[in-house]
Amino acid sequence: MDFDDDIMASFIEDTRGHLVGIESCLMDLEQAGAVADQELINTVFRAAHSIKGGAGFLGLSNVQALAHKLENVLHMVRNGELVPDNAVVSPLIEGFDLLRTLVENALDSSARDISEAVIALSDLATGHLPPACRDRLAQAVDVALPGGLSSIRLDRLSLEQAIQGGRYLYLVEYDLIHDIHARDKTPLDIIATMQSSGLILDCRMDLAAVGDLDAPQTNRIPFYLLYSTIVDPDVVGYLFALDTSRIHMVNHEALLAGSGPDPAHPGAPPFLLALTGDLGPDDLTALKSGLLAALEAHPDVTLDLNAAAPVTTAFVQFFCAAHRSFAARGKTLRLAGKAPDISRRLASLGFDPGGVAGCGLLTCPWFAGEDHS
Amino acid sequence: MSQDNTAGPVIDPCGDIVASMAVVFKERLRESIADNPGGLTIDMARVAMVDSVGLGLLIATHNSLTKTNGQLRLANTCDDVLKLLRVMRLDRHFLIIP
Repeated sequence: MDFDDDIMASFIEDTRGHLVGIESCLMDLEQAGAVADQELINTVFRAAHSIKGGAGFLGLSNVQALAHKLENVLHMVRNGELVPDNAVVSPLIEGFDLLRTLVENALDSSARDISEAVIALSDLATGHLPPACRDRLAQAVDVALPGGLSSIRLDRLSLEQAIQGGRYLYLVEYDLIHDIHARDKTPLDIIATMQSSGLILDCRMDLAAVGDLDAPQTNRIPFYLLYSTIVDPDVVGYLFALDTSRIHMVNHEALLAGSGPDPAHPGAPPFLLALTGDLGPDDLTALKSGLLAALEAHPDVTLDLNAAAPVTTAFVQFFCAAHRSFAARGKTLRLAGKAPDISRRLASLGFDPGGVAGCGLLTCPWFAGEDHS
Repeated sequence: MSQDNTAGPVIDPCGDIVASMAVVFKERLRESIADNPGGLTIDMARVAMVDSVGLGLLIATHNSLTKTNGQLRLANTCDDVLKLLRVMRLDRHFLIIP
């Protein structure tokens, strides 16, 4: 038996332990109904959560997905959003039964069709939610990534659960070559470290940055992880062994509020930067410093173009990069004073709404109102 | 996009896809795709490990094939490598053949 076999065997054994007595716990929950003991609910919730974490590490996608759905429903029970009556407990018992079967046949689990159970649990959560809350499950939240990558998308409920208890939300940027290969580590080493201290919500690799077989051998493979943890921003760099410039704290409040003002700063007016001059290299260098300071200090920044010369290609590229940086931090960068013929001018510079489709952001500050998600 | 598991050539590396073999293996992949741009299968039966450079090579192969509407297929992938591809979400891009 090699090391990974040991890990799998240990996971299966741990899962058996978590699932001991789960059915009787669930039946007790049903009997207690609305006055169910919180510790009892927590016991069942922790079982689903632990199994989900281990399955994620081992790449058991079906086990992870099913445990995640069970966790969602139990989270709602814990919050009093769902009463554990028979209609709720029966699908939970069936779900845990299926989870046990999947784990006992772990190596084949990902090939099994679990859609029926997943849909039943999703419907359960959606159907029992108050109308005002149902949208949280269906509502997608996009976390923008730098470099023109499409956003990481997750449902609002998962995001809300991930940041509960004062946890921070980070977007972590690794380079597989310099941060992992050059340090004689494997990607799985990094994943294991992160999962020991928090929850990986999703990840994305920048495939385009690698190039193709005709390109020189790549020396950079960007890998982004969306991660929630209780680890404080002051020390999180040690956890990831990364410079803090590669760890972006995501403003989840602004994210959940959409593109509106940051609820952490109610009533705060947008910070205005008025641009003058011809937007040449010197102007852009100064503007970069100003924007970096504004990015740290303000949730909502507006660049006013009213007194500036017509935009140049360099400025459009600069602004798009800055816009993505703000979005990655859950902040907003806007434009004011755009010329009425800006679309035509951008087209003459080689930009168009179709061309920005790959930038990964839901709203384009140049082609306002045109959805390129 | 072809889902034909038998379409295109099959390349079978004789060991792990790692930095030490990347230059030679890259050239082999490049020549294969130049001759058969519609798709390529890598038989992973003798691959127990893929390191970061190897992942880059698989991604570059995928990117080359994408340009010609071809697809990268990985056959006989061992559990460890499969786990890596799933964790990195690369199983969304490569066709994994059981």
